[in-house]
Amino acid sequence: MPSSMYFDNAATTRLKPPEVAKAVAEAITSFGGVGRGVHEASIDAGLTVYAARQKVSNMLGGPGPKSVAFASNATEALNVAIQGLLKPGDHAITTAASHNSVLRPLFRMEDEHEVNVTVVSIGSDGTLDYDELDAAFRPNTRLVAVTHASNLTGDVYDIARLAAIAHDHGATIVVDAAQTAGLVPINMKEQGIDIVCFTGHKSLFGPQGTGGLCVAEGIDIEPLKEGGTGTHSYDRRQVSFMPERLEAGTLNAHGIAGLLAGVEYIEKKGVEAIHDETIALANRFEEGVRALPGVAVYGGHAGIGRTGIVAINIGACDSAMIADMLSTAYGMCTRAGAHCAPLMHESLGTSNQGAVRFSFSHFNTVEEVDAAIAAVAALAKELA
Amino acid sequence: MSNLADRIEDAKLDNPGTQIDCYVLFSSHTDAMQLFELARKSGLGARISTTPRQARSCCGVALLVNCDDAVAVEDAARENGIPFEDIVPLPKQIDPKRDVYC
Repeated sequence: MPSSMYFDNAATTRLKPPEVAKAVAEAITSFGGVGRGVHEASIDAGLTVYAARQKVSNMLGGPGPKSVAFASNATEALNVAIQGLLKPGDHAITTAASHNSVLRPLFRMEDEHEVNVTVVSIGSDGTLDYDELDAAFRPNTRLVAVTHASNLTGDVYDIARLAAIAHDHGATIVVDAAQTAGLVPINMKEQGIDIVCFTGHKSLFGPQGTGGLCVAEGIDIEPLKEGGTGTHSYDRRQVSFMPERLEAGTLNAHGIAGLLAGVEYIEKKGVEAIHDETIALANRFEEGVRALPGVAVYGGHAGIGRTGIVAINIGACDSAMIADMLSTAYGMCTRAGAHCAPLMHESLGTSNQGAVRFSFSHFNTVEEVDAAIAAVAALAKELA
Repeated sequence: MSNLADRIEDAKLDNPGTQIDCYVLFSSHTDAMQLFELARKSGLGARISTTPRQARSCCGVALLVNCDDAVAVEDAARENGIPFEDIVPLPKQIDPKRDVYC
């Protein structure tokens, strides 16, 4: 058991339910390739992956197991969706709250494939202006790619409202749920979401190297990769049906077994319960540090909810130095710098300083949160 | 496609004294997994099998079902919207003595 206190759950959750490691260990010593044989080893892998598709679709309110295509993480899933949907001449909209996993694929499409991109601004408090986003549509707007929650501030944006705006203009909406899947309730059918991209290693408690996208019925995405599917071997090109259309090559069934265990854990405990416990810890920390002189807290109240993230700075100190001091002097794991969210830092005015991001999971304890508050208080006093 | 029950009967008549197996053929491995799960939960005899070359389909995975259950499996697939290419009755493929002296 690690001795350091881990507050970097928005990057990856370190503490996982024990059944996750057990599932991976069992899988890696028994599985064959999914869809690559009919022997016991392959069938075990196939049924596990199928069960994972079912559970993920259920958790996201998706159309069913065939709607879930696995990828190595949310970034890959977002690349699949963005590059697979946009065509030359299309226009796409995103927001400044987006992670580089959304921004860079969009900018690549803009630079190399004659796609135009509009980035809707975010206020200095983290607020998204939905009217500004509505006004950004053009007749050729094909895609709206947005983050469900900022990976810097934890602000949760109203994806149902964003979906309604997108659909009013005949566009498709892709939601980056890297920070929210498993932590904030998502229901694609009720919220009108077309595509949800998720990662396995954060709040779904799976291993790194897992993730994917859940796609509503009637949406066809051109595959990013082509290759072996175990079916239609004599066809010249990638198959036309989901989920194999978006999955070329052998799946990470070992990792997906762990992801399945993580999702089953969440199912048993409940997304709402995990959310409430996590937010209680984040709120406690925020209340503790907000009162400290010289400490700035960013966001957290600009959306319709929050995740377990609280981003801070101490005076004008370099965020990297603070994170280093927290690590070396207090044994606390946080994340400093730009968080792959350059436009969000510009919005908040923190591009130069960066920010120290504390991100809690429900596996953190009140004692750990109080220790974090005490550490920030001591640093603020020391560096004042 | 002719009525499945009729095709099973025809296969039995064409192969007297030989057990007839029914293979459900798919395009997608995921569809095969879905129907296998459904059949198992419904108490219908089914196991995942290689697709016989005689019933060549695009997916190497098939469901081998008892022909007595084949119509029920077909109905279950249709009721639950699980796509399949065909259900093919064939003389029993697995000969335990096959290749013994090779």
